[in-house]
Amino acid sequence: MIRDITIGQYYPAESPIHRMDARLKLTITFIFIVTLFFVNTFIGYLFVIASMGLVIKASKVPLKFMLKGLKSIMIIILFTAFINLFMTRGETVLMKVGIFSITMEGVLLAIKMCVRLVLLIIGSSILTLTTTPIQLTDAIEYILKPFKKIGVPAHEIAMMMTIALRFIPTLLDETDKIMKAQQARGADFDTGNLIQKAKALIPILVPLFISAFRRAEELAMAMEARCYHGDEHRTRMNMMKMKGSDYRAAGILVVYAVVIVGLRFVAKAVPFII
Amino acid sequence: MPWTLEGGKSAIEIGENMKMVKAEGLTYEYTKVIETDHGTEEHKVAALKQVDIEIEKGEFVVVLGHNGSGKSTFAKHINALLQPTGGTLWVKGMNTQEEGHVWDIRQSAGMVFQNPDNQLVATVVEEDIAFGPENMGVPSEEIRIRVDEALETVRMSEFAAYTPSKLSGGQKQRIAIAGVLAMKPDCIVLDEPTAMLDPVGRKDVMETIERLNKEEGITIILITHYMDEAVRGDRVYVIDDGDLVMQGTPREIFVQVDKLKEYGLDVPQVTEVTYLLRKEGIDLPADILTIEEMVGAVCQLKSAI
Amino acid sequence: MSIKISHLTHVYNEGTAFEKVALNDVNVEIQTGEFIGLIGHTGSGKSTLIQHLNGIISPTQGEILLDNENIHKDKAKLKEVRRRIGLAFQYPEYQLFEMTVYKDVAFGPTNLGWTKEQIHEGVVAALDIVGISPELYEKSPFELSGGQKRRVAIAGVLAMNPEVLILDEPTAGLDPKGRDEILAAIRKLHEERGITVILVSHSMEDVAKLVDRIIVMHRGQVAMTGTPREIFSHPMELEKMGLAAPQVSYVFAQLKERGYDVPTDVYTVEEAKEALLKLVKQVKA
Repeated sequence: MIRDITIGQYYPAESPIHRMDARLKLTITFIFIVTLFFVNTFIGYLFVIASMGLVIKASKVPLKFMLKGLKSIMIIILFTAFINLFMTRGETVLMKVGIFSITMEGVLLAIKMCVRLVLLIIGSSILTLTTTPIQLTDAIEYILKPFKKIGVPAHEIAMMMTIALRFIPTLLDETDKIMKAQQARGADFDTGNLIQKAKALIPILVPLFISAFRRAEELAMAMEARCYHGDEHRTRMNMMKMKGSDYRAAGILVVYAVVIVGLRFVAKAVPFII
Repeated sequence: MPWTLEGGKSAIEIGENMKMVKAEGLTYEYTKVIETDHGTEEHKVAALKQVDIEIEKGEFVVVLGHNGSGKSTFAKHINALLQPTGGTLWVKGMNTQEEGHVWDIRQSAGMVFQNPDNQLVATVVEEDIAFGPENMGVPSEEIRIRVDEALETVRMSEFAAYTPSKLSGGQKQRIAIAGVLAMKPDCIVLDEPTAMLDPVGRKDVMETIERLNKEEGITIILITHYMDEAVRGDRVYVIDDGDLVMQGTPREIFVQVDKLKEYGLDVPQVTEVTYLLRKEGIDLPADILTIEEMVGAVCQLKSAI
Repeated sequence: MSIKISHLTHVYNEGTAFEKVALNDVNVEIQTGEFIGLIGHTGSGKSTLIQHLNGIISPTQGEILLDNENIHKDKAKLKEVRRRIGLAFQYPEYQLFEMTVYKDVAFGPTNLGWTKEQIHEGVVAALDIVGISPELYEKSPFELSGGQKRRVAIAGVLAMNPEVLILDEPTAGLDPKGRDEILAAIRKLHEERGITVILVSHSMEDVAKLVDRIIVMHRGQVAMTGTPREIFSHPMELEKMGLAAPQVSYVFAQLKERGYDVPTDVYTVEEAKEALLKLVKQVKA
């Protein structure tokens, strides 16, 4: 059913990761993703996985939720593995399949890329699972603020994200209702060829768009009535404030980054530890 | 637009003899484009015609009218969402046409709309209630206090951390009311707040509105076409086709059954029964509005005979 | 055509943390030509029930028999079931999508694969019965008034020539005039075409004016069923289920309580007038 789609899958729990300042969490996630592409040694990966394991443990979110996000992109992971496996040229040929050959280098690269992707997805899942959508949008607004001078509408982007998150469940409900109503008028969404199926969507999409526009218009009026006029002179109920623990977390982040970069240099000097 | 609110405190205190809302010759016309066989034609349509209304502070006013009568247009003028094309409207003495007053007016006269889904902005209830004060630039600690108070007033405190899509229609409307309350208004305009609710939701919202009026002293302007809601007001105005056609206390209005029907409105069942019985020559008071009054009147009738 | 609902149970999100029993062993029979009022507060299961009747959702347990045949027995026949049992959802105007009123109403009949003539006949008859005049046929449905839109949407269901028409809150959000127009159309439909009508409503006054039999849903079960007279003479039981009887029912219940010799099964304005007149005459005599 259409309502099974979950977005902004926050997992409520009391943990240091949940309490961490969302801006810091966003920065950490970003740096984490960058470092993933820095790592090129076996020990490096081990270190990343171990650090991540510690964070997951601290977050008190069951591992099964973390892995849930992987299911939906399994195809992409397999595809990446496939491409790397067959398209990498190398010296140690393991097997020949038609014009393709599988090499030792290819196997290693495929494994590396898959591990990177999996870590990337789990890393960002930790962020969304421990941060409410509101905190996340606030953090994005805050981080984008310095770019306002070069024309990045930080507040507007954040407001749009908030409204989108607020209305996604409403519009999903509505889609469900419209589908049922058209089905009751004999509409058939399941059979027929691709063109027929696409055509069958018109009776759903047109009412959905009209309704979305009507909602947007009414919402705009309601926001105006509540004195909304952009972010000029705007205050917030929940001000974001870095706490002592946040500074400690930032310190740990620095150590982590140094280790990653360090490992890369060590690997260069002493290549056999791969 | 200029900003006149300081820390969310209203810049203008309402004076002794200042009306909450005052309309003088209020007129609103718009151009409607009609397609005909010979291309398009423009017609001027008047949604409000020369309306004079005075609403006192603390009053509970009901504005009645069928759909398209102009009652919603009137409501939107009070919030300065629409500007009159003729005449003047003052809210707490502030002319809604003067740009400098816009934010003061919207803070003083908050507005709740019909569709509960389309007026909540945030994904968490308390964040939504904070939206108004945040826009007004109220300091953070003060917003926190206001949000908690507003939730308390509409009896929704336990839902502070809920997401609006998990609430019922009636609960969403009470959150919308709390969102307005957090702006500390003197007056709340409610544009058919119960039209999309089930009976339980309607009852909860009406009780909330009445409590705000009685206990908090907030002026209520309720736009509706439900007669059982209109009965609870201090004063009723009937708008038909842009004209203010009737005004008075609910009793004065509801005895005029024929006239109300002519304007496409209903009367409560008991009032209609009374009306029919009086036509048959039975001596009942004309202004019966509730079940209890009807029962009482029938009992008295018997003892009189 | 008779509908028989037997041991119908429906569970949403079965086996998950969000499991919710919406219907619990419901048994109802509806005869040809009946005018049924289905009442119950939000969440009582009435919406789930009506969506089962034309196969939009399938039962978790139990079955729906249409002329003694399970509607889910043959999937190929489901479309025909949906034609025979028309369902107009709440706020049906939100499903309008075509360029013109005519085309929108023709959507259902076209899906059924009717000929052009059959479609035309169905559309014109449906629009006529809901009181939409031919001048409006080529207009965009979005230009119409709220009440007109709703009537066009209901015509969209009627055009498929259903034998049963289910209406979910057809008067929600309308003003008294719009409401009266819709109710008049529904009454006409029942009287002229002899269609079986199931009216889901929160408005006891509407139900009282129209229906022959009321089914009261409560917590996923049928709590009461009977004529309006029988149902509305129990205002207190209705209150307990978050419902209410029409205003005049309470008047007579209270008069009876005070020892007056009045009937307790009065529920319309006309009846109330007659009963009170009788009471006054009795006293005078």
